[in-house]
Amino acid sequence: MTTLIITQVLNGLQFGLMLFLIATGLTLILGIMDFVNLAHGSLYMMGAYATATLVAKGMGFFPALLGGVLATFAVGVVIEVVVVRKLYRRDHLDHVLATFGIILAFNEVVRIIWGPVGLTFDPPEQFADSVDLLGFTYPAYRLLVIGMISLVGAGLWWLVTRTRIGMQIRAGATHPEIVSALGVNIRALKTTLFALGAALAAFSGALIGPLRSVQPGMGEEVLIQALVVIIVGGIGAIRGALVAGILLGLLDTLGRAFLPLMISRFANPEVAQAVGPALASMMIYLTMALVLVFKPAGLLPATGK
Amino acid sequence: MKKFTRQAVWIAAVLLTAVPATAETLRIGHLATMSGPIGGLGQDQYDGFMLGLAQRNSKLAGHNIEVVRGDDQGKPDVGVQVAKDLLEREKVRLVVGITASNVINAVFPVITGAGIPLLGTNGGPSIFAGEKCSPLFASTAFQNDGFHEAAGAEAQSRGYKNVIIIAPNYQAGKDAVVGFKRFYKGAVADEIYPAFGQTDFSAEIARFAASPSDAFYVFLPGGMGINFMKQLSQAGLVRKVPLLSAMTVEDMSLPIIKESALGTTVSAYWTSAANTPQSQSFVKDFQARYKRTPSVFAAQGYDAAMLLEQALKANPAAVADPKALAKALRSTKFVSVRGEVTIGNNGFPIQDYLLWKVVKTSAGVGFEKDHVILSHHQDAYAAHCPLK
Repeated sequence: MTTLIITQVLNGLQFGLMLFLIATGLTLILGIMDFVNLAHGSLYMMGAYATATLVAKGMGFFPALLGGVLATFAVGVVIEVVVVRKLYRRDHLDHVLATFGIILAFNEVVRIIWGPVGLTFDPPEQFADSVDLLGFTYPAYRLLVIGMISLVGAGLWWLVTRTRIGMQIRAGATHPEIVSALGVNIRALKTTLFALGAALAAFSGALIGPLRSVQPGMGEEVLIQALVVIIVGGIGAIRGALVAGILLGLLDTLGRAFLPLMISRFANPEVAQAVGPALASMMIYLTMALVLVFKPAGLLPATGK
Repeated sequence: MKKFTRQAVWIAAVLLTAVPATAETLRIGHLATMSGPIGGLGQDQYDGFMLGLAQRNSKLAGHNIEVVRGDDQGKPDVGVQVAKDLLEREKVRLVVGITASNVINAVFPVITGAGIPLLGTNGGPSIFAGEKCSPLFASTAFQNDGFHEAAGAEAQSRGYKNVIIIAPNYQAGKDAVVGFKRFYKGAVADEIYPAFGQTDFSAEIARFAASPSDAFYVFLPGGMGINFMKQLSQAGLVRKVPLLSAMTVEDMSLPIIKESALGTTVSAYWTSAANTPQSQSFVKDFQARYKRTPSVFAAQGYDAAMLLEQALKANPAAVADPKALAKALRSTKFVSVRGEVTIGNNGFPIQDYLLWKVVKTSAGVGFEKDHVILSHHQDAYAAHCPLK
């Protein structure tokens, strides 16, 4: 039982970090640029497809991952310049409509280029199997995912809080006129930030590839979960996204693993089989509802504004 | 003058051979899920059916066939709307196809209620196999429980005592478990119901690893199965315990799952590895035309064209009479890609279910026929159908 609990906690941690990584790009764009980017899931999908294509062309996993992220960064720049830039001064409904249009367009483009059936690619050779961890085995690739997201998360924190560009981003969010009066190209800054969000989405999409199939529409489910994470964590807060991501990841995984067992303790097996899975799949949404009631700004709201 | 003679001969020849005196045009509506997450299935049903027609130059038993295509998007309400459109505006006299069970539930009464026959080319829920069966319905596919009953029978005959079952938390998932248990009498170590459309199965897989069992039974259709098999393989569990699956590892998902499914076994009545001559030539022609391996859904569509041709040959006048057409479809013993098949009293085929092994082939990973699990199997609901 202990090893089962440890395994499930690791699963929850891995899922939570994944949620954090997907949510963080979305929360940066929403919190700092005040732009609702529903197309975030599509950029996640683009990253996965670009990486899958490069792997299929014979590239190694890590170079393909880098290539996929860079390609999606470029796609992000194009979307920002062509569509998003014109919408900053409009209200949120226009953001939603335009980026929802991008979702539909991306899904169809992907279907036309790569077909309706999904693609997959394998994890790097060294991480294909499971490893022994003090008496239980765990898939090596999931450990790699935990490690890589931790690294990228740390790098992102450093970028935003400790570098000049991070300072400009934070200042540009609250006082765009002053920042641009000081000679910072606020336009280019916004383009960079949007593309950075795209690259983060692509990175998560590429990491998920060896675990799930890469298929049209894969971004939508993830988008919903990412929105839940940023609502729970507080809009615009990277720290909030981290805490909320891990919290929801653990809740979801442990719920799916243990709720049916717990319910069967005090209800007959048939009821437990019916209620357990249903309740488990609602856990993160119930949590969101509770957070909205008791802490409407989220658990760790951004302090900048 | 010489030119004129040649033309006249041509015209006469065309008139004599291609158009018999009673030739008519049969308008068919093909209704299936062509877009969305299961759009690949409907596309295969359609492509298989159209291949069968194309091989016969869109003529069956001398009658011209016209096909109008409809897409229900996997949504029952859209299905009803498109079905009504096919019946009322397009004036089709036969509807072929239907992909999802929830769409069948909605459109079945609409189509049969209008007096038009429905020839199903994918699964059918129990409701229309039992008391609510219709004389206007026939299927070249299967009743939903068949795969799982055969899997249960296989698990029982192998003498398993403790099986873990995983199926999606929706009606067909619960039905699958009921079907499996109808033939499997051993204990169930754990029943796991992930959400429909779930993509990450880490929590479920940890439960697989934790409960001691002597076999896994997996029913996770479409993308769920692909993700599950890959993740199970990464957790090192695929070849540790015997794994039996249905509608999970099939010709559409295997090219993506690949080695992760090696060594597992599958309950199905047909795969692209079936070695009947009809099946082999169908697979070859389908690959030549569409550049991909046909799935069982394509085979079901192709068989619909075969059944329709043989029914029209048996009763050429049925082309103008929907009731007679339905009767001919139901009473014709037809040669399908899975061998000879008869249609039962509820419209569903009576057919053999087989066990297939997933093996390495020259082209990568493929199926190999192992043995017949259930011979001439008819679903459990036929007895409740009042039709003869």
